[in-house]
Amino acid sequence: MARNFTRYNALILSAIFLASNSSAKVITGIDEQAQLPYWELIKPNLSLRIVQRLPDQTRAYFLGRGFSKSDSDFIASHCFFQTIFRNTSTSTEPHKLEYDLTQWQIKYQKKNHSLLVRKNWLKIWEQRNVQSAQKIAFEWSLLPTKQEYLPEDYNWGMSTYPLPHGAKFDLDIIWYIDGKKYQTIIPDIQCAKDIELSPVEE
Amino acid sequence: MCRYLSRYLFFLCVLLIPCVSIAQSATLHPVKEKPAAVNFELLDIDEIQHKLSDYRGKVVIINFWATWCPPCRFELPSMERAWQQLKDKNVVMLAVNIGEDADTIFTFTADYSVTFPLLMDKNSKVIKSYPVVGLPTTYIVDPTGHLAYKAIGTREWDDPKIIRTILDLNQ
Repeated sequence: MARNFTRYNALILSAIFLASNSSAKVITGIDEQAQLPYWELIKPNLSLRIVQRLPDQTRAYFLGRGFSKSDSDFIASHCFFQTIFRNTSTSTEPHKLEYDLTQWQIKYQKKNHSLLVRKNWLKIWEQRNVQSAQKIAFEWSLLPTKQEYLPEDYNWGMSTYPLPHGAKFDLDIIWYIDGKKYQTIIPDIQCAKDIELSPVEE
Repeated sequence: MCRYLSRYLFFLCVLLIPCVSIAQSATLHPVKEKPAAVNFELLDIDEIQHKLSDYRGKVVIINFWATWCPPCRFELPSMERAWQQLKDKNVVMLAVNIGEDADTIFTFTADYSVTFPLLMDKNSKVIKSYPVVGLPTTYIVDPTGHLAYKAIGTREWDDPKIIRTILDLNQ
């Protein structure tokens, strides 16, 4: 029993070691709700999780918000992630967390790209004569372009990338804690691939 | 063995503290300089008009939300439980829906039954008059009509700490 206990001890201590080290790492896995891959950055006072969204899922979501089929198809042709940004500091040791998505860079095929943020999409909707109700739904479905979080504050929202389905990229992100700038890269993020159903041979 | 067990428990507690603090989310942030809350007039889904200035002298909880917003849905049950504790204590709770119509919201309430008013900001003019960029965001307006507290994201609204903070605004 003593030997089992020691093994158990080692396992738990390893888990604790990994957990404590994860403050500097990106965790990947399958999101328990979406059942799709996620990438999560955990740093002091911050957690950022981005979860793949399937093109069909995005298409259906915006059809449900009243977008036409052609506009929904257009939206779904882009790379979308569900994004959860959280200030993990506590009221006993509070810190202010800020970000601005326009400062983030997508590194794809040796080129830098910017995320598509609310103002970019607004221009697109004006060109496509999208109705006001749909523009409102789209705008508020996106992660805010700029945000300031105090302890325990967070948002869920979609972040959008001008990349093809299945593209692998690095995301260079910047955030501020109490006004101090921090920067890191989340490597090897992958946009969801489109699912093409083919006839099943019997 | 007891020594090992106590060590495990200690480490587990250390690991779990952040999780627990996130799950509870019972912090309201004081709004700096307490600006006056922008007045608005909106219909609720029962076509009753609500004018913010009519509630002067009461504490008003203004929650901006949408049916398609997952964290907004998470907090509705705790908002209802809080409302049951607060409704007879000089407090008003207004959930301001962004961009959706009465039919959509009414259908949604079959799964999320609440008894506080669900207002409709169909053209998003009201939310844009407030310093709000993401959903859900909640402001607590004090009886003099000023923004006293703010929360971005879900809160456990019936947490005693939050209830106390809201009721203290009446004093």
